[in-house]
Amino acid sequence: MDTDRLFKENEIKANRMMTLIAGVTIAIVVVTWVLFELEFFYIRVQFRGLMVFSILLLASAMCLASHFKYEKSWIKYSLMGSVTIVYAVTTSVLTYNVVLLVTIPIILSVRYFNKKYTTSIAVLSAVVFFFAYLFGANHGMLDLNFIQYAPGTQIVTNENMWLDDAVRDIPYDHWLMIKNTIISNYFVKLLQLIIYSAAAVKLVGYCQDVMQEQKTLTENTARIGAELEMAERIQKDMLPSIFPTFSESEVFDLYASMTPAREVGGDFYDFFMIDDDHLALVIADVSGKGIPAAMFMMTAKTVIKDYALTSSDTSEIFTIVNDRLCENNEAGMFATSWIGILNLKTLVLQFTNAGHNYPIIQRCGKPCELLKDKHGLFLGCMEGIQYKQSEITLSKGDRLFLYTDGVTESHSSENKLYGEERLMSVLDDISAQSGETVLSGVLKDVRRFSDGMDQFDDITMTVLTIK
Amino acid sequence: MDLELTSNREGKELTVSLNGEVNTLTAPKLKDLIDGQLPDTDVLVLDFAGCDFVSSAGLRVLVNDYKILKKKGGQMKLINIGKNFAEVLNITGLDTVFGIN
Amino acid sequence: MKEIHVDSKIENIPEVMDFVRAELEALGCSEQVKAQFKMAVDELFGNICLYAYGEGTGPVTVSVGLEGDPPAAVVAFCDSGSPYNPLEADLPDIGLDIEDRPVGGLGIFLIREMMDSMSYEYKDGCNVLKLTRLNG
Repeated sequence: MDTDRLFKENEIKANRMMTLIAGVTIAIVVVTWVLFELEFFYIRVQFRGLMVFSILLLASAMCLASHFKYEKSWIKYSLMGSVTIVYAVTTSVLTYNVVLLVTIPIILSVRYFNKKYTTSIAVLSAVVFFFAYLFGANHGMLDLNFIQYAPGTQIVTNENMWLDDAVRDIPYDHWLMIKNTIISNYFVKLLQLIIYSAAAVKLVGYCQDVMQEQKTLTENTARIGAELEMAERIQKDMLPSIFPTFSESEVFDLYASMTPAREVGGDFYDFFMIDDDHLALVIADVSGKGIPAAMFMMTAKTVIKDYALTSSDTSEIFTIVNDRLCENNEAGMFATSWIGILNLKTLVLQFTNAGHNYPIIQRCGKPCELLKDKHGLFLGCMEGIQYKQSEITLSKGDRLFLYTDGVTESHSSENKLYGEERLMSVLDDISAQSGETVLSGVLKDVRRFSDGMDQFDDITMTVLTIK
Repeated sequence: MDLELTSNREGKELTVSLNGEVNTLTAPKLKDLIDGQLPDTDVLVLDFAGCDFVSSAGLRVLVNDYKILKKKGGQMKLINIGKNFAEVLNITGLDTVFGIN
Repeated sequence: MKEIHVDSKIENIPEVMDFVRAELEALGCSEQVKAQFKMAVDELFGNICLYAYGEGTGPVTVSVGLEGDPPAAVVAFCDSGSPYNPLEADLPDIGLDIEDRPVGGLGIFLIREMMDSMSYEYKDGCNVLKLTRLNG
């Protein structure tokens, strides 16, 4: 069904082209007529009537085509038919001067990418031009090669006389002329026409295939594009976004955001309650971009959450997660990640760092500093390694800021890096309580810094404030 | 810069001294030497006194040997580590994995 | 920007390393920066040798220079092989046993951590990989 539509659309385009060709033909007929009236060249046959006929025929075909918006299926025949007839008429007048006209309808028919159509035009050409040669043999320009005189016939010319007129004045056998023209001229052209037609039909078949292939390709590309978009949406949906879940908490305020780069990346954050007293926080950055990164990200996120719900020891969680991620990791993907579990009763934060940027900790009212734990190997590198757990105790007013290198590695137009220091000084200046305000403040500053530059990496941030 | 290796065996303990650089070109040399000896080795000591450049190709050799040793209950020690190599181990976090003196 | 043109063969790694080191020296880079770029050359030039031209070899241009303000050292690799981002494929282990699992991401991770920025683009039929490092 769809393919039919494709070829229908093509036919309309081809009809438009044919209408243009008909117009060009009218223009040529008119120019020829004007030149003839100016006696620029000589045509023995009185052909003004034929000129009027040709112009009217072409013009009516054009009007019909345009009136029916090039859509009706007979339009292609009416256009090509009228063009063929006009060329045949021209051939009957100018005979051997315009041999190439025979081939034009077939060549034009190729544009329709329709084998049946090209075949019909070939047959039409053979028939119409037969009559053209028949009529042209004695009424068009005489082809002196085919005229036969009795031996010894003399042709007498003077300086104002064309050879054609001189020959025509001498009686000759008109039937013999027709026979000669049909056999030696038309028939030879017919053989050539067959070759042209065969080539044209073959070419049309090829064009049809190419069109169909191209259509399939276009559809596939569109489908992949749509699927990619879907993947991006799924990935985004995987990140928790219902912040009011925690808004009733009297202990902490939490806000996270991810601003993806143009291409799907592998950043993610996650947070969830393990039980009534334990809040887990995760941030990670998967290597690479595109679908592989997104897939690895989803695995990593799922696995981390699975194990975090069964173990409260962050080093143990990463040890198991790392083993799981190493299994069948033929692609050599990896992720840097940080996990922390906060005990809401004691405010003790236990955490493990697998090659991730150091989080920033801002003790109540004091300047920011990096939470420099000893970080372990990134996730997905090698199995069987033991991660270490560190812990700090938070207190009221403390703020913990987690981020990926999309923040610190943002570029300015002068090729400067945003860096940890600028990040920390911005955080120092934001005294707002709400996490949402803090993150939008940082994002605004990053945007100001990298004014006009493409965002190369995902920008992912989480901020936890103890109330 | 090439890599020269001298190995010294005391029972089940194999000490390999590295002199030069471990990079993409020389890492196979280190790998071949250690792989041949690993079946008889429980403790592998790598002396980096004469080597302060270990590229990622070298790290992969170390990681693979470490995995093999660990699987059979053996251990690997890196000694006399220079500043550059220490930085590399620290950045990757491999210093938490290998035994380092 | 100074350039060196070599064939993509791992035997040429030392030549590229020496060139990069000498140029960084002339630009006044610290010992640490030189060591870090050496690491990057080993990994990335090695990747190009293995992947850029498939089984065969081809020309590679390595250039060293300063860019931006404050000036940052820039090392760029340019090859005209098939489009391929060396930052996304890690160098496989040489002569890895079948039962050994590959060690994922070490080289790329290291470079990512050591450099201030890396960029890849496929431009005019060339893979252009650019590493930038501030002289700290």
